[in-house]
Amino acid sequence: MSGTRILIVDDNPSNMKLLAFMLSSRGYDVRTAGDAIEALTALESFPARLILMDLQMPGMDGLELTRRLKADPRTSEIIIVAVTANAMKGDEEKARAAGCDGYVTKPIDTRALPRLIAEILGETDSGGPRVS
Amino acid sequence: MWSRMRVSLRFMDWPLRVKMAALLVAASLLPLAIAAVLDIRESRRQLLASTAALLAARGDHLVDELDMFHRGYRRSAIRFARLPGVVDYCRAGFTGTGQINRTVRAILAVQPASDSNIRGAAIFDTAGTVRIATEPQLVGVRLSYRRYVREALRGTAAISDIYLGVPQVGSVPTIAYAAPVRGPNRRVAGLFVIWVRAASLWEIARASNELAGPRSFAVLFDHAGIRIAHTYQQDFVFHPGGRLDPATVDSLVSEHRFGGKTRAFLEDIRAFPDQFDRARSASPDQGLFRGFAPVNQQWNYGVGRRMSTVPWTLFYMIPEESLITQMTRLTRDKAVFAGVIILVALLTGTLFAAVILRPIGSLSAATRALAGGDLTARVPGHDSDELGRLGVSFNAMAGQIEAQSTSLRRARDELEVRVVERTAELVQTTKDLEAEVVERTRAEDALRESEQSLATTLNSIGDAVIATDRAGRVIRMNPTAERLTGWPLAEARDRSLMEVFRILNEKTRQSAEDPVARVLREGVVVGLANHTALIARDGSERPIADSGAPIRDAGGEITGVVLVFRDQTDERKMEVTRLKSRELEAQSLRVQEASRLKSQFLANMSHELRTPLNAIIGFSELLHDGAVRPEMPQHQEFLGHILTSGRHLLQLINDVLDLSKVEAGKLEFHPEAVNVSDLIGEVLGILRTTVASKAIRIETHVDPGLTDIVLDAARLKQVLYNYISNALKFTPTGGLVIVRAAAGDTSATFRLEVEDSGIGVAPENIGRLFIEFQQLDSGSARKHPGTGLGLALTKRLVEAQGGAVGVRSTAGTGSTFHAVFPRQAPAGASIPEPRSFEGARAGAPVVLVIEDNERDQATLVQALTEAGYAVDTAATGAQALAKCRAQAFDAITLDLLLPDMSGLEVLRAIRADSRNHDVPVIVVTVVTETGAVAGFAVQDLLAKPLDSAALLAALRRAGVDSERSGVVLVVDDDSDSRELMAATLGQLGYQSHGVPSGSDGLRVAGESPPLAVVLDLLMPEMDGFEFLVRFRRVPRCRRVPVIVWTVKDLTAEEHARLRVTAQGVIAKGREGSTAVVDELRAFLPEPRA
Repeated sequence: MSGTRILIVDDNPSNMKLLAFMLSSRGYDVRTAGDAIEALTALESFPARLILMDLQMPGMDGLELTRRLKADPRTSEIIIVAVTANAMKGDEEKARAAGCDGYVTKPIDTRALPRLIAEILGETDSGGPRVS
Repeated sequence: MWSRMRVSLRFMDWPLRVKMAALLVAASLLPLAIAAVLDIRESRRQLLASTAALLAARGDHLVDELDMFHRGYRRSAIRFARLPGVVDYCRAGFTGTGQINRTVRAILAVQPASDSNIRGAAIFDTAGTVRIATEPQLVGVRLSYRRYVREALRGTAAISDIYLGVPQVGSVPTIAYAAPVRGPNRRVAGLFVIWVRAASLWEIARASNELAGPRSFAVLFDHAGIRIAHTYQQDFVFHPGGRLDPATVDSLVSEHRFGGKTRAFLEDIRAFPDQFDRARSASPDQGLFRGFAPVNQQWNYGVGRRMSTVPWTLFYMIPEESLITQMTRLTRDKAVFAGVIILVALLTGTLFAAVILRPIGSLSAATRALAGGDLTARVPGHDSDELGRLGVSFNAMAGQIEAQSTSLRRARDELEVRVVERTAELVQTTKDLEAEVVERTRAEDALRESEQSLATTLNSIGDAVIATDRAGRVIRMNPTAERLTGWPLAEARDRSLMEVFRILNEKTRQSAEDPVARVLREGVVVGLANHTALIARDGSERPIADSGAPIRDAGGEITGVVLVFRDQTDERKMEVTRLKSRELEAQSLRVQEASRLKSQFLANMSHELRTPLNAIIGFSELLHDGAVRPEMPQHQEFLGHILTSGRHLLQLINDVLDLSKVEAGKLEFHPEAVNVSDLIGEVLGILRTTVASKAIRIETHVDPGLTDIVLDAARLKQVLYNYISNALKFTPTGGLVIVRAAAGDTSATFRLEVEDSGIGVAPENIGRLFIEFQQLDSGSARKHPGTGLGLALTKRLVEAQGGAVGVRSTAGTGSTFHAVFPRQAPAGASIPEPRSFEGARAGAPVVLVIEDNERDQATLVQALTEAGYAVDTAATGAQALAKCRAQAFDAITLDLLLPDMSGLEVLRAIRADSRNHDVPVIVVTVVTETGAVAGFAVQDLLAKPLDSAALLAALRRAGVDSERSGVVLVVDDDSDSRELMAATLGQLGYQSHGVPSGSDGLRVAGESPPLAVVLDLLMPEMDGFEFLVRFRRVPRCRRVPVIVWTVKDLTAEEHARLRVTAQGVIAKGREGSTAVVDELRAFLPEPRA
């Protein structure tokens, strides 16, 4: 699990920071992107294993980005977990239809999310952040 | 036949020849006779006229000659009267020297010598006596009885009448010319007189005899009507023309006019009335007159002329006989000429008649022969005149008669044959007609059948069918039409269509055009106007669809109009139902859309709420779980994220609430006088951190004229905040934001503008600016965090106050947002009194010392100052009252003995003024009797000499303690709020005491009055309002500042109440706890170190 590359795509700096801290403190190799373009650029040099994807973003939104990534054979294997404030009925279906592999609503549970990610990645969460 | 006519005397029976001759004679003679008569009369008139003209000319000429005669001698007399010798002679008194006498005699001698007409000359004295004369026998004779002498002595040259001279020189007819000789001063000194023979004048007159025709003559009368000259007979003079009155006769006799025979002359009248009257008239008739003259014993024509030198009248006359002779000759000549003409005419006429009548005679004979049956009779010879042509015509006629007679006979024979033929034809026709009648009967049967079939068809039609003739009269209606119009055909037939029903335009209610007229005009099938209604006989109305068509006969001529109406009542009903259902559909769609929008809004809300909550909860969990220890650098950073997100969340919630309130119309506005400049300053103050951090330059331009703004200050601030914070958000670091407040387009509005130098807005996006959650993200929005509600809320807030918002923007260079407000809040909004801060203040309580005694005053001031009170003094009652009117005091000490008024009067006056009506008053006086102040509300009564401790104790009892507890009382049932407030106050150096309920608050305040109170309104048991009422009843708490800090939305009435009892109202959650402390500071002393 150590070094598993995770890309965080979120336009809200606070939320990006929160996720980044949470995951990097658990040993993941974390990169962040503020929008879809940044995400695509980052992926060129950072073959992420998993993407935490905010859906509602300026410009190309998360759903569209997901569709693109899933349509591109080079990136279609990346696990995409939607992390979104869209928590209304049907939003999850939309996310899954776009190609998201997981769906987490904001506000996130800082305790549960790392476990969920570990599960998805087929790892076991250490139960707390590692601080180096 | 001819012989019989010849003997007849009747004109009708005369032969044509005689008739024509008579006609010719009559035709030539009658005008001739008339002409002759007219001519003779005209000649006579002309003769008379020319005679009159001739007589007048001669008369005029003669009169001129006579006047000239007179003037000549009168001039001579005047000339001589002026000669120096004559004048000298007269002046010298007619005696003179020999020289003068000689001269005069020479002068006199000149007269008869130079002119044989002159008989002599003389000089008279002023008495009318001859003093010197050519006839010596006259000297000494007094002639003053002569009229001319008297006249000349009066100063004018005079001409005498003709008279007979004095006997001394022989009785010769004479005319005297007398001129006055002027002495000194132009007085008449004498007369110079010349005598002229009258015969010389008579000769002149006679020379004119016969000049105006044979035996024409002149006769001269003087003014009295006496003949004085005659050209006809010289001795026929000095006789009057009529009888003179005796006075005249006497006067003339006394004048010796005609010597001794004067009377005899005057009585021998030779009557000539016309001349007599004319001569005596001042201006005689000058026209021609006819009169009998005694001189020739004949009738004469004559004219009269007046002389200008003397009042004599001259008549120039001609005997009538001379004229008649001339006229007779003229008439005779003319008659002879006329007779010759008549004779010639008769002869020529008879000759012509004979020639003309000849063909008539032959025509007559031929006619008689024709009448007698001789069809071959003809007229011989043809002249080319009318009679000749008549003869030719007669011959032609006779020829035709002959020919016709022949053809008539032939025709009669043919006619007989034809009659037979026609009779046969008639028989055949009758047979044919009988056959046709049978045929027609059969056709009529068919027609009737067809008619029945048509009627049946029409009766079966569901639409109304009405046929009219060209004039628009009903000729046919089917039962549907009868039912629709309410008229049975039997009654409607031949009535005008418009009488049977009316067609209205349903919308305009105007009568539609007569359909018949329209069809006839257009000549084709027409659909009539839309939305028409038919008004039936009973006035009922129903919608119809109608059309009309012309009825044409086989020749294509329009013979009438057929109209078809369809009752549309049912269709209309269906249409209404259809419309309703469509409307319902639309409504349902609207509801769906609203529902969708609501869901959309909720989804947006959910999203917007979750986003900051994510950071808050996430970071809080991390911190709470100890994942980040306080000493780690991230600790502070994470707290910052929590705070930012928390504030964002709060802003979002507030915006949403406001938005929903505006939507629901529940937002209340509390208008008050607003200083726009201050308001902008306050908003910029709130945003100063952002401004500073981005180094943005702010310019504000406020129109100084905006002094009359009355609006809800908080809402105005909110609008400004939204606009300015928005501008700051989008303006890059180092940019410029301009805030303007200026007069609006009308004097009743004003305009706020916030201009940024940001990214601007593309035109296509401007419409989305003021819509909820429509952040124009376009890739960079998260650089500009916001709730997405600010502008939407601003728009609604402004519009709810009767204003409008807008934006002008250029992408890339910046935007200008504006809001236009009414200057005065819309009617209905209450305008409360300005907030009163009276009674609560920072620092020590102020005590007014009213004391006239200087020593006592100094003692009081010292005691109070040392105890920590602020002190003001007054030495007189008037001074004290003036100070009380100007300021509210915390307490007053009062001396009852004042120089100007009694202490009790001062007390009463202080109580009467609202500013200090309940101030504690401590009476300090030498009057120890407490009864003096009985009935007056005083706090305490102290006796002089004064004990300082007693005074301070009394003040403390009155709740006026110089040492306030220094504690801010926080009354709030929410412990978090209490803690937050305590922390905020503590941070600023104030102690606080939090209590969870109003009753606790009252208890604490009762023990020791707090510095100030921060009060929540919504509390169980006792709410804030009740607390305030009770709190203010505690004497020592009346002036303690209270700031209300609440989440409650206040109504206008609650606002008004709080304005009186509290010093400030801060919305909890909207402005934060620091706003409360900021507000409190205005009322609090600086915190103690």
